[in-house]
Amino acid sequence: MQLKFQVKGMDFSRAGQAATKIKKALQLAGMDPATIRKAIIIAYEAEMNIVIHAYHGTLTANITPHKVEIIAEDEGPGIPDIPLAMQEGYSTAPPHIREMGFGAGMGLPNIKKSADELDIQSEVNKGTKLWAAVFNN
Amino acid sequence: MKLIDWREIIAELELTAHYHNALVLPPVYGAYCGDMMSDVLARARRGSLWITIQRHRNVIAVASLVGLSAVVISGGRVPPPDTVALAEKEGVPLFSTPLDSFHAAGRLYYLLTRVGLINPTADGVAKPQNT
Ligand SMILES: Nc1ncnc2c1ncn2[C@@H]1O[C@H](COP(=O)(O)OP(=O)(O)OP(=O)(O)O)[C@@H](O)[C@H]1O
Ligand SMILES: [Mg+2]
Repeated sequence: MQLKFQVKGMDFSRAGQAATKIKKALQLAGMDPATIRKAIIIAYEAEMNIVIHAYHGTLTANITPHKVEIIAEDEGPGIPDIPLAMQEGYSTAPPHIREMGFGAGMGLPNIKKSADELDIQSEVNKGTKLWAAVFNN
Repeated sequence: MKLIDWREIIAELELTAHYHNALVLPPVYGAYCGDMMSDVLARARRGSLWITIQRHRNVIAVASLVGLSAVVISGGRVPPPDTVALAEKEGVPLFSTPLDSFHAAGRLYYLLTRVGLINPTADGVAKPQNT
């Protein structure tokens, strides 16, 4: 099964909706609660990174009985230094975003901890593509 | 296992409810305090009550994703109508309290300890949650 959602930059009114729908699909599919938790952490953090840091993009979930794939693709500023961005606490989120409780610099580290496989490709001034997989045990 | 009566939580934490439709309040097995969305998403346990100063809609998204029992907005802050509407839609019980996060958490900690849901010597080391 494939679910695909459009995600708009700075649209906080709909933020988190894609991840919420993915969670419901995973529950209906009867996935293991641990798999669901990992997949929704990845989906939510990737979705919010598009909302906060990019212009627009898509969030896709490919769900099979053995594996959940989450793919986030955006057009945006890109990530110049991926190893730096992966460090816990590193964030370029501006103060008004931090006031809302984002910008802890925990999103990418949380994605890394939750994913069994992860690949991030980014090009400055073009965009970012994140691919992650969680195996369902 | 013993649970805390919701009437006691509401009285002790001085809660005001922000839902209009009848709602079955889910059991509270623990609690988490946090104002950063990524932190709560990674570390709060399912079935916990979440105490936070944040009151925008994304709080409801995070609470629903984690499967939290309820959200308490602290410090006399009141949730705006769009947050209330989303909470209603997602079935997340939403409350506010005049107490600050520390005092709200302290009173709930006492209630949870009394029924044996918190073990003061063993709990409290935050770690990423699997479910
Ligand atoms: N899709 C993206 N496009 C451009 N930059 C990004 C993107 N995702 C992450 N980044 C960059 O990587 C940094 C770290 O991302 P990460 O998700 O770990 O933290 P954050 O989004 O700043 O805060 P948090 O996720 O805790 O709310 C961001 O601050 C931003 O500079
Ligand atoms: Mg992030």
